[in-house]
Amino acid sequence: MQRLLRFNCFFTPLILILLLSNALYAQTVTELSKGVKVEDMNGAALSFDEIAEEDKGIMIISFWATWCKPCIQELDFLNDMYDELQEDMEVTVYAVSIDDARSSKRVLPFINGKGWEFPVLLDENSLLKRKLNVLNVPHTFIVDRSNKIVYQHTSYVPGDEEEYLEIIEGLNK
Amino acid sequence: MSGFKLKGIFFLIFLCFVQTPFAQIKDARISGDFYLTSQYYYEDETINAELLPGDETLGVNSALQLNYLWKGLSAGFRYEAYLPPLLGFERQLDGDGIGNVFINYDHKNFSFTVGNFYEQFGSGMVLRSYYEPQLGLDNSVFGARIKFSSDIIRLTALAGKNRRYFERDDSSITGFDFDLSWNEVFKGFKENGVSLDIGGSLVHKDEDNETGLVIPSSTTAYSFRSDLRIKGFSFGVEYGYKEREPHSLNQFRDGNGSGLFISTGYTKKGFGFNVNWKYIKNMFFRSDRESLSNVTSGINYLPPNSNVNTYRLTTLYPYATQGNGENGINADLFFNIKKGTPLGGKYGTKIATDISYITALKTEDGSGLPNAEVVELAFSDSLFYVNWNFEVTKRVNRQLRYAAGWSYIKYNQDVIEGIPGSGFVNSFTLFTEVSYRLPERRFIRTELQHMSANQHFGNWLFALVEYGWSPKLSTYISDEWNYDNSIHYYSVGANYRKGPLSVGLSYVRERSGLICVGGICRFVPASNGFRVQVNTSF
Repeated sequence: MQRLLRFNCFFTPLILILLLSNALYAQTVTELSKGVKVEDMNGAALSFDEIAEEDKGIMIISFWATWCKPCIQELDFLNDMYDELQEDMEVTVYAVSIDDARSSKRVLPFINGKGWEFPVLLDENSLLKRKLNVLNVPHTFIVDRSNKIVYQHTSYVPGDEEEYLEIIEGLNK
Repeated sequence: MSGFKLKGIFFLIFLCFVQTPFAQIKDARISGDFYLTSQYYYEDETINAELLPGDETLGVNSALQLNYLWKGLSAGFRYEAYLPPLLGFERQLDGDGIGNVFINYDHKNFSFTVGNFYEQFGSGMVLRSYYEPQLGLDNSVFGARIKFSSDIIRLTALAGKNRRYFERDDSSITGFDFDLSWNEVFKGFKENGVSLDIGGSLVHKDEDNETGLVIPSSTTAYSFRSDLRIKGFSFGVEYGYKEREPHSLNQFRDGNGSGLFISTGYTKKGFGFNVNWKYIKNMFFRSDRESLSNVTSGINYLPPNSNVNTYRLTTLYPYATQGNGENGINADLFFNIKKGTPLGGKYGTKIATDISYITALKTEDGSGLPNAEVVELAFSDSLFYVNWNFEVTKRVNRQLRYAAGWSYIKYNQDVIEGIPGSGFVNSFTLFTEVSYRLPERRFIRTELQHMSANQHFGNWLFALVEYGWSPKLSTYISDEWNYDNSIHYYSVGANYRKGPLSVGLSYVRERSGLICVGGICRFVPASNGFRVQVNTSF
């Protein structure tokens, strides 16, 4: 119990300081992901910061796995409205799979079976996941045209994508 | 408190106070994440739920990761606390301290790291270091690493020692890996939809021999891999070999180890098919030959050749990789019934099915042991695991979405849980999940599952109802009812989410079971109590 008290005295102020000070500035996804390679569906190793640099539109980056039901539900919904997202709102969805060697070979047949239209990337040893401080999937980022992370969200419940649309509409004003 | 921990805490406080000035340096950033899982335990004789060892009632697992980034430079550390660890985690984790610290510098095509780092060569057959807090697993290598990467070739060299709890294993590991993309060499490949990658790894371990046994003090392992894709077709192969390495997990049996993974498939829009064949013989590669833990002291990673089952009742009988020897095949089929057809409806209907069949190695003496002569490529009569899943997912309209299917599992409890004489469990589970959107961003989600099994715990019924009051707040109630033994395992809780923050509060009465991530399992005893979970990142 005493150990816990020490732990709490230490953590509570620390977390408060961190939360308050970090509200002051925005991070860019290119800085956070520097040096990290992901694999595309053709097996090519790509630097994620370069992908972000080249994308001049708005990005939705969604971390998922073939074994994560809420992730798949979220991406199914994003796929259903992808035409609208892509053409009317200049949004590209990047679905970053954290499936490890157990299930990474399933990813390509899985997404084709689903008929997802957006690019899917493999992060097999969770390197990008850790760089972007993602603890659990699903975890979704919205990144503006200058690569700033303007919104992030963990977990998924039906209706969350409506919040994404509001954020994106705000960026397109 | 040890000097090391004290230093760590000073470092933390220092970082806290200097953060604001740091942030003003152009381009400098602080990022990080934090999680805390805590449970208050009650005794509950009906389900054999006990308190923590030493009759402690409160367990906490927590970690704070902080990273400082400036141009190509990044540095960070993770402060971890297990005060004491939750039930089912290894007790050696007890305590707190800096579990991970690193400095990394990226310049053009090069990357240099000193401290703790994570690495994976190929599928991980000869080396994978990774972090899996749900298992209490972190076998990061503490040492130095250099990487070179261009479009054509990627090279990695590393040296160090595996992390073990808050210390390190005594053995030293050195490794080298390369990856070559032929489609960048031959431009004609790309135009014809062809991609070819080849790679190879070499890993060497040195460990002083203090056992008094006549066994080698060093072991070398290597692997080769190749991945070919031609339009929709894919073919991948990886072969690994490991020198003699008697250790606790192979019961100090002598003999080489080998592994062969072959994967092939075909996929096009609306259709995907994939088959994996995995053969493993004496391939546990260990950084401490005397350790019996399957969570610490692993140098490599052997993925199980079965799919991850996620519906609650189907998680009762998960498969764990048998690194001493197994031979298995796994096939997946995915397809989409097009929208606009009678079965497809407005949004299309998604179908997924998979089969796994895993046996012991077929050896000449019939023992299946890791040092016996193997009849190559053949399945043995000694079955480890069979699983057949079938699932339909369908969105009916804007509001309604459902999934339904079944899961058949034949599970060799003797082998997978190491309880001799327990035999096989045959189980058949039917499941369904329905979610419905209500006005004002509210929703309701339900799950219903039934498992029939003649052995072990017998039959089960599971029901869950979740109600979303708003996108930020939801509550749920569930009951996992082992009706053959008249035991209810109920749980009630609430989850709050805002941005990267999620907070969960629940009361749980939970059955014992295996928590498995990536084929590595830890046994979690039954428990009864209140649980708090907090996750955030910044």
